[in-house]
Amino acid sequence: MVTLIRGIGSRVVYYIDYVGAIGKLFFNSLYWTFVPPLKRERILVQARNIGLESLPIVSLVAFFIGVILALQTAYQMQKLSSEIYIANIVALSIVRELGPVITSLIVAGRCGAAVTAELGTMKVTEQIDALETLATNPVKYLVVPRFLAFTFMLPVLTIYANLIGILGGYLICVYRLGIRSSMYVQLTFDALSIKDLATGLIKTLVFGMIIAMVGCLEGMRTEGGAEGVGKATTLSVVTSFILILAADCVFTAIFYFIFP
Amino acid sequence: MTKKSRLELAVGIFIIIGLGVLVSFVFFISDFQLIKAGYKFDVVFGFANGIKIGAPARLAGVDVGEVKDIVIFQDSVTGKPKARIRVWVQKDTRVPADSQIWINTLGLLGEKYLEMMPGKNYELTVKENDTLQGKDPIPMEEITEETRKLVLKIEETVDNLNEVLGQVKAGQGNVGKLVYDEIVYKNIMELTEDLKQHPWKLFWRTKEKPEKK
Repeated sequence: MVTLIRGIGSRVVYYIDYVGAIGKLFFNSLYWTFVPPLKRERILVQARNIGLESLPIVSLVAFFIGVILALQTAYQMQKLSSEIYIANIVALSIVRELGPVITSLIVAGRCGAAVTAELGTMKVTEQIDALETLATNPVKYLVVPRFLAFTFMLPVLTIYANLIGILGGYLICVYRLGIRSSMYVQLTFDALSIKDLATGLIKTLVFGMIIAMVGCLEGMRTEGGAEGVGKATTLSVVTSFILILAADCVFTAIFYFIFP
Repeated sequence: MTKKSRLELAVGIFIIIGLGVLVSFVFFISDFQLIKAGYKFDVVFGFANGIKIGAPARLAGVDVGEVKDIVIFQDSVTGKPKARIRVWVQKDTRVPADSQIWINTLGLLGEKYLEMMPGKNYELTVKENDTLQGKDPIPMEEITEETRKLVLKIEETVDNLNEVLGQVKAGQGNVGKLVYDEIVYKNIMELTEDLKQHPWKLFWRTKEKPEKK
């Protein structure tokens, strides 16, 4: 009994500790972002890794999502003989929900894991301690470029994902379901509003921060050699996924109940 | 080209294309009708049936504009609250002033739109800031109330009919006796049988009858 309560208590303390560590790292990076000098090249390298090099896989997945969404919607809509609404449903679900979330999950799996592994290896081989002895702040040198790159590249990637996802739905609807091309485009743009686009993009800013913070934190807390790096990477991806979906839930509720 | 500037170029192109897509999205989504020329006029309804701002306005079944504003106001004569719907239509649409305007329902999800059935008098068309009177839709409650009244009346009629039919069934009254009493039938049988045997009775006239008259 005592062990049980002790176990629960230590878990609770661990999670509170985790939230505190993420918060501390977040404010630290925010602070160091505005402390000059800002190394432009280090940010650009990360931006290329996260944005440009993720684009093919993000596009591919977004395209599949668009195709799947159109087909699955068509399955139900053909029973009601209202295929016209497929355009609305595809556009709204991709722009409001699937585009941002799928992009974030891919980037978390692809780049968040890489960041954790990179920083974890540096921590294990004591390179981070070496940085500190050189009077270089590791947050400034390692975390800030990744933080900025994740935060600002994710919305850009999401815009691409939205466009390509809608294109996937378009191809299915126009070439398989016989909806006229101009009509599909018209319906898509009729269904969307600026608010839908904005809510999707605002979410991704926060998702980007989550991925950067979790990735860097897990990396910098890594202990215990190569095995520790592996564990940290797994933990980083899982935590990012859970936090992204939790944040998405909160955002959707906010946009649904408070700003309808 | 140095390695550094190539890096900057790649990231720059990536971001600029992304922003370009975003801008074109925003441009297509937002109604650029703000740029298009047109005019606005008011339609007054007693019952707006839940029409929303941005609902399409159709003239003879063609989308020509949209609802821009909906204001509720107190009618100065009757004191009833009424809805003033401000409609924007394209510049080259000519709406006759005697057009019938009402709020109609569209499609599966029941979106409301403004239906304008053009009138006949094209010499007098609607101009900027004119006010037209819309045809009110019959509210659902009114339909139910009318239906209820009708049903009550039918019920009454059916009750009366049942009473009469019951009497007929019981063999009461003239009709009942006609249907159920066999006396009339027997009489007719006898008469026709008699006539068959003595057809001359049809033409034969008793001598007394004319004398009587």
